[in-house]
Amino acid sequence: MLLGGRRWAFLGLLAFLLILAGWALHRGELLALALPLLCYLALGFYRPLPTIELQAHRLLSARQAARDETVQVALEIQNQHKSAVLEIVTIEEILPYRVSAVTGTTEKIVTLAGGEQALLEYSVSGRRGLLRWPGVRVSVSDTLGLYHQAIELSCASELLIVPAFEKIRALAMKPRRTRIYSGQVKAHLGGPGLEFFGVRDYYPGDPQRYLNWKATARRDRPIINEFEQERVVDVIILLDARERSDVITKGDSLFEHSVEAALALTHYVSVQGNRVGLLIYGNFLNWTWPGYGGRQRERLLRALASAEKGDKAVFEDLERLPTRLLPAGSQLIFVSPLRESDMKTLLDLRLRYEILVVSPDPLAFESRALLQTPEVQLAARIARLQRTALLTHLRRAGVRLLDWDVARPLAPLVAQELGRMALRAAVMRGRR
Amino acid sequence: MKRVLLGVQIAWAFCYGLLALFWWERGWEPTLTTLLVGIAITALRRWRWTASLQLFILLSGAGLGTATGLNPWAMLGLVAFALGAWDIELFVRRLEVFSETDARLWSQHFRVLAWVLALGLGTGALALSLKLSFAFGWALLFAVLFLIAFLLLLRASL
Repeated sequence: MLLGGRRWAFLGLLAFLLILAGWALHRGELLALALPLLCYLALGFYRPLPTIELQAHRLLSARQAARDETVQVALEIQNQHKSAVLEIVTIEEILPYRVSAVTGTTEKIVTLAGGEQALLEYSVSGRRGLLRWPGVRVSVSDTLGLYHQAIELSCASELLIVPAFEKIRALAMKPRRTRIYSGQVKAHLGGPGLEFFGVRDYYPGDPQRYLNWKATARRDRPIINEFEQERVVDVIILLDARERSDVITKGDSLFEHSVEAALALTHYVSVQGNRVGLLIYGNFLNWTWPGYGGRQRERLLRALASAEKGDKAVFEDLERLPTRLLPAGSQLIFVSPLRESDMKTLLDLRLRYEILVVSPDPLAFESRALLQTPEVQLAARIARLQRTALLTHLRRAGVRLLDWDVARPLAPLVAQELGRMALRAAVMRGRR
Repeated sequence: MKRVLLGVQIAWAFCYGLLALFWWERGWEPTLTTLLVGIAITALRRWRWTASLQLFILLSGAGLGTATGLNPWAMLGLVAFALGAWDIELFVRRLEVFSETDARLWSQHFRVLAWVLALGLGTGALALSLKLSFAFGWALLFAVLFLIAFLLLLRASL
């Protein structure tokens, strides 16, 4: 668009050529032809842009939204100057890159008199992430387009789009250490609790209602029932965000399912009162320090909602996992489609931590999107055998594992495969 | 907005028609050339720069006509008309990307443009009516002053 200096130059050049021709040909009439152009420039010169004092203010109908939920955005641009009229103000909203749908208009052209304001209304929705509006692009010009000034008004806003996640009902954990606060994880220690743990001699001060009368009669001294203490534990959620672990099909990504699983698990273990930390491994070491409570849950939610994949060579395998950050004896929950090269690190970690793996099945995910030709079926079968071997190896090493076909709901599978009964069965298998 | 754009198209056609009509005095070749150029540029209307090209061609045609003895009053009117069409076309093209526009934008633009054209035609008419003769030194002085003023304008806008 011919604006500002270009317009001056173009019209000035035309006028100059006419004057030059008139002078060269000794024809005064040619000078007269240049006069409308000169008047255009002269009038523009005496009507320069006034001082630009604009202020932007953005209002979002919600600060946090669910996936595909529509959020209304209202952007107000006010001319702070009392009297200056800004003849043409072009407002262009700079949208965050993760916005997936927009209705309404994000651009507007208006005239702003002194103190007047313009309103831009639209709505956005997205799949997941922390949407950040950096600012507003505004350009001001006079009506003839001879002056043009582009500015960017700072007006930062944030919207957290949280993906939908399932509510997990049961997940049994058996970390090597528990913390001192009472919680919901069995600590293998006698004391106050709900489930019977054993019997011991009665000591003065013990509540008499827990006296085991049969055992007292049998041993001829007071015996008391003991219950298993339930305490909170340290749980670290490890989310595999490596690009190479991901599978992308038409409009869907396995990573998104991993994030949803990590969210569901994080929510469950955090609500249970445990001390939860998060490490997103892929783009960089996105570490959220372990903590308790609602505020920590919010922190974890933000971190997971804005998780990004990465293909850094340094994170090619799990060897760079910063184990010094992980609290000793904590429960690790690794959410990953799993790769052959991860095996060694997982087995090393198993020596120091209890590991629980939720593995979104990349083969089932990918094969659903492929045309089932004989070649594809054969390849899928080979890959399936490899994956089964990998999972079996991990299971034998004592890693509790859920091979999750993402087409099926997660919560019942977790209850079935990683619930209390499954844990008891695993313990029995281990004893045998 | 489409109506204004149609009006601008008609204005351009009128400019070419007027130019062709005046060139008729010089025979059918320049008339035909003018009309053909007009039609060719109208066919290229997809691009924004065609408005500026049209202004350049019409100004060149008017300048050439004045230099070869065509009616300078008509050529002045043609220049003013072409300038108005060029300005409105660029203005419309600026606004057409927006779904809604403020009515005040149009009114203030037409008001300022009317002033520009009235002033341009007025001063042009005055220049055509008055005949002054001055020495070459004065002409040189005026040229230098014009150049300085133009550079100042350019600097102010940049």
